[in-house]
Parts: sequence; C-alpha cells; structure tokens
Amino acid sequence: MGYFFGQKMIQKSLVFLWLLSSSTINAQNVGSILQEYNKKNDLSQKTIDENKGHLVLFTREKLEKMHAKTLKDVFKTAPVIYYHENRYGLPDPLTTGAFEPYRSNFIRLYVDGVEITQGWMGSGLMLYGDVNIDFVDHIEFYYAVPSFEAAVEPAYLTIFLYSKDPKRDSGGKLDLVGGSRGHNSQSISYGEQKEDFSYMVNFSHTNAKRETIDNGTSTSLSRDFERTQLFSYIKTEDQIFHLQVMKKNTDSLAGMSWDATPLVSQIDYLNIHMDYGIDLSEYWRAQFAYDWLKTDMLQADELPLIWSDALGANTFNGEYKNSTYTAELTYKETIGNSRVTAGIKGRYKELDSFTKDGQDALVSPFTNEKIATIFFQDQYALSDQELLTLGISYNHISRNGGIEDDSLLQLRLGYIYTSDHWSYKVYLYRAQFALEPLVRYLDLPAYQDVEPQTTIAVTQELAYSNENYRLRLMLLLMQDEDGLVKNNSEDDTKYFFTIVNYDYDFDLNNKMNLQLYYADYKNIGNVDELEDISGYLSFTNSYEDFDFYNGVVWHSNSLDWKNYFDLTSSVSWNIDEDLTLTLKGQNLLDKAKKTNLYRVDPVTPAILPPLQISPIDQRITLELEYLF
Amino acid sequence: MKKIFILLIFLYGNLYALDRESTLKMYYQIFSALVSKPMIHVFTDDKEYKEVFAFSKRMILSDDSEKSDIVLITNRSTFSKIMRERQRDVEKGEKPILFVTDYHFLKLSTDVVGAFYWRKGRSQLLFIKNRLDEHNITLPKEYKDFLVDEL
Repeated sequence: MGYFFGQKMIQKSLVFLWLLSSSTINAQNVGSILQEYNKKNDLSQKTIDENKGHLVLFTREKLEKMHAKTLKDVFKTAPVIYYHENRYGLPDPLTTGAFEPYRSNFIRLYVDGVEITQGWMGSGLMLYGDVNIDFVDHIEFYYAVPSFEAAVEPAYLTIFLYSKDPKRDSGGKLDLVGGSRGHNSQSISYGEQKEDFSYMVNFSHTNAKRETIDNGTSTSLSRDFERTQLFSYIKTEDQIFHLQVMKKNTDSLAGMSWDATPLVSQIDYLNIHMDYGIDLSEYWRAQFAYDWLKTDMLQADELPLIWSDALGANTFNGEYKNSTYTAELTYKETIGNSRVTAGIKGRYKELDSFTKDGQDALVSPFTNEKIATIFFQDQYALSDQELLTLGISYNHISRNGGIEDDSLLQLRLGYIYTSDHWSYKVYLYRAQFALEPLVRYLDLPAYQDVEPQTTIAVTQELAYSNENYRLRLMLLLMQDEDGLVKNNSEDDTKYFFTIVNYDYDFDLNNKMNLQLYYADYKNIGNVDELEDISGYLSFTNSYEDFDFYNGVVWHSNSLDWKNYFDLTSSVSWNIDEDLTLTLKGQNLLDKAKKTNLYRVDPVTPAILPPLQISPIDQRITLELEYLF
Repeated sequence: MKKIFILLIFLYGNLYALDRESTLKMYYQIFSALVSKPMIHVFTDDKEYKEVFAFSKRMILSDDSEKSDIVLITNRSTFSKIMRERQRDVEKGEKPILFVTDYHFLKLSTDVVGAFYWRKGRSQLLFIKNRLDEHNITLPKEYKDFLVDEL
C-alpha cells in the first residue's frame, strides 16, 4: 500500500513538474523561440570564423530579400573596395581605369572554402565577380589579411560563397528573369539529401543586355555577355567533390584599343573548376583543386593594339589555355587551451598554350609558376572570453624562364574579446604580395625582377549587439612599402579606413541596415591625398504575402566631391508557398558611381578625355520563382 | 574549454550542424503542443536530429516508429518507408503523429499534420487543421498564425 501510494505521488509530481515546465516554456512565446532558432541555425552561423578577419555578412534571408541574382548585386554594397569593371568589361574592383590587364589579384574568392582561381590570368574574381548566385546560401566578405588556413596566396579581401544545403533546400527551383533591353536569365536547381550523401546541381544561363557606352564614334562600346554556368557538388559526411563550369562570351568594352574605339572587341572564356576534399581523420584534411581556363580574344582597331602579344598589329586573334593545380594538407588539434592549425600547400600555375591565328605562338620562356606554402597558427584561449591568435606563413614562389624567385613572409597577431553583448578584435599584420604572372608575362623585360610588396597593418573592431540591434565600428590602418603599383611620390602609400554598421530589427519582418565608410589615402596612384566616403542604407519589409526591399548606395570622393546614388527597389508577391513574382529596379535614379576609363591617342600620343562609366546598369526586371 | 571559446573556435568545424539548445527548445515547443504527455517518444532515423534529441530530458528517442508518439521525417527515403508501413498496417488502431522538415512532404500525404522547414533563409512552422482534427488535436491559441485549414 505504502509502495503504491509512493508511486502515485511520484507520478503526480512528474505531471505537476511537466505542467509547470510547459507553462514556463509557453511563457516564451512560439514567435520568440522561432526567432532564436532562426538566428542560431542560420547556415552563416556555422561558417563564420571570427579569426578570419573583419566580416561583412550577407545572410540567406538578406540575399533573398535583396533579390540578389549575381555577386555583383552584393559586391556593389560592400565598403572599402567597391565593385568596378575594367576596360575589358571584367569584374576588377581595384582597376585604375588605365591599361593594366588585371589588377584585383589581392582579392580572392572561395566557394565552400575552396579558392576559385584563374591561375595565370588572375584572381577567380575575374569571372566569378558577377557570377550567378542562385546556388549560394550566404556570402562572407573578410577584410584585411585572412587566416592562413584559408589562403594559398595572400589577399586583402577574401570573399567566401557558401552553397545551399539540400537538407534545407531539397527539391528544385526554377527562376526566370526578363528585363530592360531584352536582358534575361534562366536558372534551375535541384538538390537532394540521401541517407548517406547529398548532392546539388544548379544550371543557369544569362543573356546580359547592358547599357552601351558612347565613345564619340558611331559604334558605341558594348559589354553584353552570354554566360552558361554549372555548379554542382556531391558530399558525404567526410568528403566533398565540386564541379563548376562557366562559359562566358563577352563583348569586351574598350578591349585592346588605346583610344577606346575598337572595331571588334570580343573575349570568350571557358572555365572549369574541380575540387575534392576529404577528412582523413579527426585531425587531418586533404584538398585538391584543378582550375582550367581557355581565353579566346578577337580584337581589331584602326591603330595598333595595347596587348603586347599583338606585336603592334591592329588585329589580334589569340587563344590562351592555362591550368592551375592546388593541393593542401592541414592538421588541426586542440591541445589544452590551444587550437593549433598547421599545414602545407602547393600551387602550380601553367600557361599551357598560346596560339595566334591558329598557330602556336608561345615564345615566352616564362610559362609557369610554383608556389609552396607552409603555415602555422595557434589560437590560445586566455580565458573563457579572450582569445589570442598567432599566425606565420612562408611562401616560396619559383618561376621558369630565368625569372627571379620570391620568398614571402606573412605574420599575423590578434586578440579577440567576446562577451554576451560586446566584442572587440585587434590584429597586427605583415603581409607580402608578389607580382602576378600575367602582368609579368606581358612585359617580361620590364618585370624581370620585381620586389614583392610589403604591407604593414593594424586593424580594430568594436561591436555591441542585443536582441534588436547591432552596432559596430571598424578601424583599419595600413601602409604599403615597395608597392607593386608605383607612385609618383617617394613616400609609402598609407590607408586609413573606418566603417560603422548599425543593423536594427524592428521585428521579424521589418529590418534596417546602415553602413557608413570613410577612408583617407596618402600617396595613392598619382594623388597625394584622397578622401573617400560611402554609405549604404537598406530596408527589408514583409507585409502579408508581399516582401519589399529598398537600398541605396552613396559614393563621393575628394577628386570632385560629386555624389553618386544607386537606388535598388523590389517588391515580391508570394502567390503561394511555391510561386513568387518579383518586380525589381536597380540604379533607378541612373546616378550610380562612375569611374574613369582612360584613353590615349596612340599616334600623337595625347591623353584623351577619359570615358565615365558605371558598372551598374539601370535595369528593371520581372522575376518568376517556382519551387518544386 | 568554456562556452565562448567553443563558439570562437569550434563552431565552424561542423558546417551544417544544428544548434542543440535552440533546436531542442523549438521541437519540444512543437511536439508538446501535439502530444499532451510529460514524456514524448520520438522516432527519427536522421543522425543529426538523433544526436540533438539524445540530450533532451522530455523527448525520448524511440527505436520503433510504431511505438512512438511522433515520427519526425527529414528525408524522402524515410518518408516513403513510413508511408509503406502505414499502408500495410492500415487496420491498426492509433498511429503515431507524422511531422516533417520538408514542405513537399506535407503535400505528398494527408497523414502528415505539420512541418517545420526552411524557406528562403527563414524557418517556417505550419500545421494543417483538418489533419490535426483527425488526431483530435487542438493546438494552443498562440499557434493560430501557424495554422491553415487545409493545403
């Protein structure tokens, strides 16, 4: 009897405790639990590496609300290094607008943690800078020198694209876009989670009809392109294989014409990227990547062309093929309070062939570059809130054709403090950069031996966040010694940047982001001092079945203090769970930032007035998304 | 080491892992609205969810889908398997409640009462009223925004 009574008491107590705990949980309403779940399970929360540097994040929700279709739609809102295109119409944010072949090799691009590179021709940004991002879940921009774990070659800015996960995006998606001037794109994706593996495939086609540029002749400059793109992966718990193919046929703007009046200006690209990664054990990971690029250039002008391989002719019909092989082996282990990461990486870039008018024309002795990297990093927890990080990386670059080798030493020291609401980061860097192979190849006598550029930097970040808002201040101070781009001044180039971010969530459906940026450059290019200011203000709102996005990017600098505004707005009607219709306008005021494209009369040779070009077209689009 | 150190260093190790605390809180919130019991028996064959639910004091992992209160379905092969089993055992009395993490599965079978899934970067909770009625389930008022009469 006593036993039975005791059992009953225990059961009643359990029921009482359950009712009590249920009511306690219910007190925190389902909406707030959902919001907390959203924040903590956003895929970006799994990939953000506080030690990679200073982060500007575009979450999946933000990308969806922005209706960002290409990386360019995102890049144009990023601070410090704005989106620009060079005289070939290629994404090249660091372009001077002058006659260099490519200048943005200090920016590196990664997909699912693996670098996409065009090897001999430059950074992966060259083709992927405006890549269709229908396969992407979220994007991370890391400013300043990234952790050595990620990089094979040094960078100032690293962009990480992370693909969608079939566990959250199972099934298919069809996306159709039509817009101004006949611009159109089609994209289809399918992903599936199986018991032991998952896969995803995205196939897209873009026929970009862009604004033409008046160059004072009857034939305006064209930068239209047609791109067909495949992104795919298959992964298991410890292995992943990616295959990416891109074919991009472009009208290459001014191309190789000195005075930007080409008769023909076309460049076609075919790019393949493959990589395979495997976790060999709890500590060891190996990764292999292969990048291949075929570049077909067809250029003609009434006067001799810029490109040195044209040998002073006024027509050029050349084809380049180049390959890049990358292998990495990394080791990670936690020993006491230390998280140790070390590894070796190797990269081999080769110019496989160069043909002119169908004939072998590769005469340069310089055709390959080998990079060997060894790195060590330690993240040491000083306390439960403080982390000290130390990194050292040594790169040895050897080249054939009698070109001098380079040895680069990178150092990185950081301190991170994090509490529930506050965070603080400070980094000290020493980074070195070598001249890229293409620049050297095109003018071998001038660039036989070029000293690597050394950059010294100190960067800081202070942030406060609570449930509704996040406030952040970033300060970056950098100095280039032995710059690869020579200044008129004898003095070193110095940079000071500051970025303020304020993100406010009115509620789950209404959000605001504000970003302000100020920079002061000393001795940059031909300018003694340059002040640069920009801002980005955006609102995302949802009301019943409608989503709204309004964002404006503002630019101004001390060259003329002219104000540029790029206003993008969209309204989406979620007809049902599977079907969405969106009307979007970009550069609605037609006042987006313009930069100079310089011109020279090759006969006199007088400097002609530069062309003012914006990389952002004014465009209205209608988009249909169907999930199946 | 401590919590924040873990956040700083280890979080990015497992790329697509669920956050345990918020996942347990969310699923207990959902399942306790569906099942009025102090201890809820849950069947799932998803490794990731199993690892999370193993830490719950109120949701007990079940090895047998038939003996569970709720079956959580996260992939198509499990969905097909469970549906075959239900058709085979059509004569059986009370069957466990089916809940899914994929919106498509809601459309594929009227046996599924609700879904908690991702759409465009945001998690979505959805219950179907006429299907809940068949199980004699009445959700608390706070779920009215997540309830639709039928698909």
